[in-house]
Amino acid sequence: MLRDFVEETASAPGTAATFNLAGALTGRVTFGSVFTSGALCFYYMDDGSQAEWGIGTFTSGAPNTLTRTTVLGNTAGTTARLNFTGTTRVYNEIPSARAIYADSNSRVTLPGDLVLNSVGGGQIGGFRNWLINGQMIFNQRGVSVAGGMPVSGGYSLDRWQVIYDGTGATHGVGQSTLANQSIQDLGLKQCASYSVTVAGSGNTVRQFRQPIESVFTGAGRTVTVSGYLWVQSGTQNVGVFLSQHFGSGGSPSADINTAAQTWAVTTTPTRFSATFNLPTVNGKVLGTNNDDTLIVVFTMPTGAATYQVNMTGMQFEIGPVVTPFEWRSIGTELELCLRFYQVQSQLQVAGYGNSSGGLVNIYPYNAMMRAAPTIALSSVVQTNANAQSVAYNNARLAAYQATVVSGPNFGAVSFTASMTAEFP
Amino acid sequence: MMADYSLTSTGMIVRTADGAFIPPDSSNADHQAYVRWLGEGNTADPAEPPVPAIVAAALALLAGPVQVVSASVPAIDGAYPIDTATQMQITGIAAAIDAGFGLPSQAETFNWPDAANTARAWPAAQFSAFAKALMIFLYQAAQVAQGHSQTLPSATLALP
Repeated sequence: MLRDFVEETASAPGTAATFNLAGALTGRVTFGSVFTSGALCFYYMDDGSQAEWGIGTFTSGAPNTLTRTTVLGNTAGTTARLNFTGTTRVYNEIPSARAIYADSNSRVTLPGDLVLNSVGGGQIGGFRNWLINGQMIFNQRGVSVAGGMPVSGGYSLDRWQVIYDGTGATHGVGQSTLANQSIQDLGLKQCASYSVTVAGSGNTVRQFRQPIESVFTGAGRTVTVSGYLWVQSGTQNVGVFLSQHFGSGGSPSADINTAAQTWAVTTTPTRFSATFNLPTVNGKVLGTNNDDTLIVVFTMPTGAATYQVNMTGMQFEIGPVVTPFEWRSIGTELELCLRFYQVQSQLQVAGYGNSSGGLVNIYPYNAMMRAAPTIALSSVVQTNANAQSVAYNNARLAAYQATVVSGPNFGAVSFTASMTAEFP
Repeated sequence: MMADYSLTSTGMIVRTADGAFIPPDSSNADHQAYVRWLGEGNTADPAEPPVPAIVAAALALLAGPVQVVSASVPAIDGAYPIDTATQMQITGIAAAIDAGFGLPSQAETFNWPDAANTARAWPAAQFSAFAKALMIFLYQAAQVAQGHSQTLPSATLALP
């Protein structure tokens, strides 16, 4: 529709719908040099005393022609084709009716539909943030700094995994509520706090990370990781890198790690970002266990360092541009968490049976899970029934069983079930 | 010593450390850890064989309660608990009666609660017979539970 420095003359085009183009003015280029035949292009026709503008159709030939396809306006105040009887300049410029500009309120109003290839180099719609629970609002496992660090490889706040080594440390991850922090005005309410108060010995690695389902995520693209971080005192370096993990089972390709970038985190909550060029996964081999992931890894200080790093508003998006933290509804965010971990309380296996008779009850989960989960039972209350267990489960439901102690009579076992289908 | 994992009759795997149930799903991270553990040359504890029905029935009898039917004192008919502490009390009172100490109430009857904790008035003769019948009942049920007998006692104790 629009090219640079396109200007030709036409000889007395009159009111003809199609007229001949007579060649470029000095220093300008012809329509034929920048438009293909049949292309739509903006046009202005101007003979010095009147002008017409609209959308034309360029047609190559001998000579080239321009068809006045849609007249958007003219100096007579109509949308009719004007009668140009002399030499007329014909140039390619955008009419004001089709121009996009920021108004006096710095607002941009589009005259028609918006057609985009990307937003910030990433996807146009849907969820831009591939991290789940980036605002740290869900802590179904109830971890706390005082409660200690989960086992290495275990999970803390929903979807956030911890990896570390060494012994003798006093450390933990918990959920903290923001207080007197400027970032509260951004809507951020809670953060994850990673604390080391006694370093212990032999520590060489500390990771706080989230595996994103599918190693295809962002493959071959430029991606951006961002988040708000601060420490309780001093300055600590927090690293960030990405790990393409091709899964387990069979003979998957080896992990690919990007180079780490470092954020110097101070006591002032600051939004940091890092951009990475993720390698393509073309030609790579996935494992057979359907557990390939792209892991967003935040590396905490190791060795003898003691500190508390606070994090919230964590985001991973495709594209080289860091965009505002994406807000999803609390319900939607919880649904995303439930795919990997959930708790169902007050479940009951109950019924009427003979002594040692079996009871079975089937309960669907609150949301379909990534895989058949591991299930732990707690808060068990037995009433003339015992031997409660999980008889069977898949990604959608679990069948629980128990045994009547003395019958024929009613028996029941109530319990809480915790299901985890997280990545290793 | 228990292994880190044990099998179940339904195919689920129980992790000894926390009793969690792990499904036989290769996508499950805990199952992957279990498979790695097997690969290191370890062996899971086998599934416990199902308890034979007659043994389960004997265990259920031992859990109580028992039914009492008296030919001459129908007021004591009913269900009575037989948990371990109660058994000791019954034995102690019966021994006192046989020793000539009389009933705990030092009267013609004394209150002994049934399974609903309702006080029943028991004469000495019936209580001594109850203690004896219960002793036999417990022995016979235990014999079956231990695999030494295939004859279950009646859950109803017939008293004079």
